Parts: sequence; C-alpha cells; structure tokens
Amino acid sequence: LKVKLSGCAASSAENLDVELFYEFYIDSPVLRKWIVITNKSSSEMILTDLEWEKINYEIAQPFWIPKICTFPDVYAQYGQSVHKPPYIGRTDDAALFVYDYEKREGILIGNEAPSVIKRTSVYSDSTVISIGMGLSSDDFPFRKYLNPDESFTSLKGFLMVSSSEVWQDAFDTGLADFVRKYMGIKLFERDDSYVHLQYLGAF
Amino acid sequence: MAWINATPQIKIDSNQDKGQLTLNNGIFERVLKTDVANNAFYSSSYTDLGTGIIHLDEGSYEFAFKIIGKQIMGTHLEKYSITSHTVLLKVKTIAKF
Repeated sequence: LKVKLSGCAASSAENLDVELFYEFYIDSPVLRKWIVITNKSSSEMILTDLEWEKINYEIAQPFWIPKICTFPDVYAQYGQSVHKPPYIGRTDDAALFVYDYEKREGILIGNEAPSVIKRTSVYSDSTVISIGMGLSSDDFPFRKYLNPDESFTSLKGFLMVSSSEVWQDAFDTGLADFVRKYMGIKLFERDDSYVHLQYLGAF
Repeated sequence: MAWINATPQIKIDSNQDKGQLTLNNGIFERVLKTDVANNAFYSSSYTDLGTGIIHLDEGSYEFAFKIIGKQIMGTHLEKYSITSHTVLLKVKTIAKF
C-alpha cells in the first residue's frame, strides 16, 4: 500500500510530498514500511532526525483495561542481550524483540538501515517505539541535502507481532521465515540445474 | 505460535466515510486513519488477531523527521492533504527447498 501526503500551504510541511509504503505478506506476521520524501520547493532542504515508523505501542494492554502499566524485556542484538526499557538500539541491533512475560506477547522491531546509521528506540518517550536513523544529537547522525524536486527514499524497517510461550520463537520462526522468504537472504540454495544434469548423466 | 494463519488472505479496505485504510492478512490488522478535519495521518489501531489484543495507544505520530530544523510528523503541528493511496500488489518468487 502506498499513501501519498502533500503538505498544506502555510504549515511546516509546505512544499513537501511524503509517500508512505506499507508492505505485508500472506503468510507472515511482518509489516514492512518505508518512506519517500520529496522536496517540492525551489530551494535546498536539509533532512534530519528521520524516523519512518513511530507509533505508541503497548505490548500487552488489553483494550478493556486502559492504561495498565507493563514491564516488558528488550532482547537486543538478535536476542543476545536483555535490557529493560527505555532502550536505544544502534549498530548491532538490526532486530530486537520487546516481550512481556506475563502476557507472553511481544513485538519484534527490525531496522534495515546499515551499521551505525540505524537507530531503533523502545519506550524512550512513554510507549513510543520508532525505527529510523541517527538523530542530530547522536554520535552518528543522519543528514540528507534535498535539491528541488529531489526525493529521498529511506531504508526499510518492519514490525512483527508475536505471541509465544518463549521469546526465542520470534527470532527462530517469524523472523527467520521472513528473512529467508522475503529479504532474499539465505545461507544455502539448492542448485536445481546441477541435480538435473546429474539425472541426465545417469542415462 | 498464535500467528499461524488458518485462512490466509490479504485485505486492504478503504472506508471513505470513516476515513480509514485497513491492512489485514489474517495474522494482524493495522488501521490507518486519515483525519480530514485536522489533515493528519496516523495509525489508529494495531491488532494481533491471534490474541485479539489491540496494541496501539493514542497519539501515534506515524512518522517523524526534521526539515531545516522544523519537526514534521504525521499528526500534530503539521497539516497534510491526503493526495492519494494506491494498492500495489507484487507477486514474489518464494525460494524452493
């Protein structure tokens, strides 16, 4: 799904076009998202502090009990280390999992931005989770100069809802399936042509 | 795993009266709101359909960035006109094993 927004006149977003892309799959709990920002003005613009996903996300809040306080864990660095929020994921945090033990419910947050550029925030501000790139105040900030009519396409990020008895399932099943099927990353691939030649050779 | 999809299908519903777009694949449902009165765009709910838990709290920004130091978000402060929305369907080759 692509949603196109145009900034109204006399607002901060004047002369800006924002396109949001939402991509999801028939057999995966992953929702992938990215943003395209276009400078429609006649002068150069400086783009900074980009977070293309930024939502208020409660891990295990039943809708009939509003504002209940939960204390989830954050399994960072592909599950290698555990933290309590607030947590900022940087260089080694391409995928981190926020999990509530009591409800056995969590959300996996993936950031496809490379290396030190990525920045994934968990509950730094209330229940806000965000996927983006380094802020101006960070050690490795993101900045892009946009010429008139120039567009910038962000890297992608994704969210994955997960409900399981053990937190490892989020990395071992949902994330692993998504990476193999839709990101095109896999360690092994069967070479069918080789098998075919072997079959012919038998005759 | 609660997200195993018994009846897999992708649905993208557009409701002009309510001003919302609904993304649903049988595993989760995310509702995107187009607030015409305030010219804002944001997610109004995100539901894990396996558990029925609605995760989204009020006041989501949807996205955020700064242009020449000015904060831009999907909601608050800025105003947008919803120019268009397009459903893009892709058929992807899935690896065989």
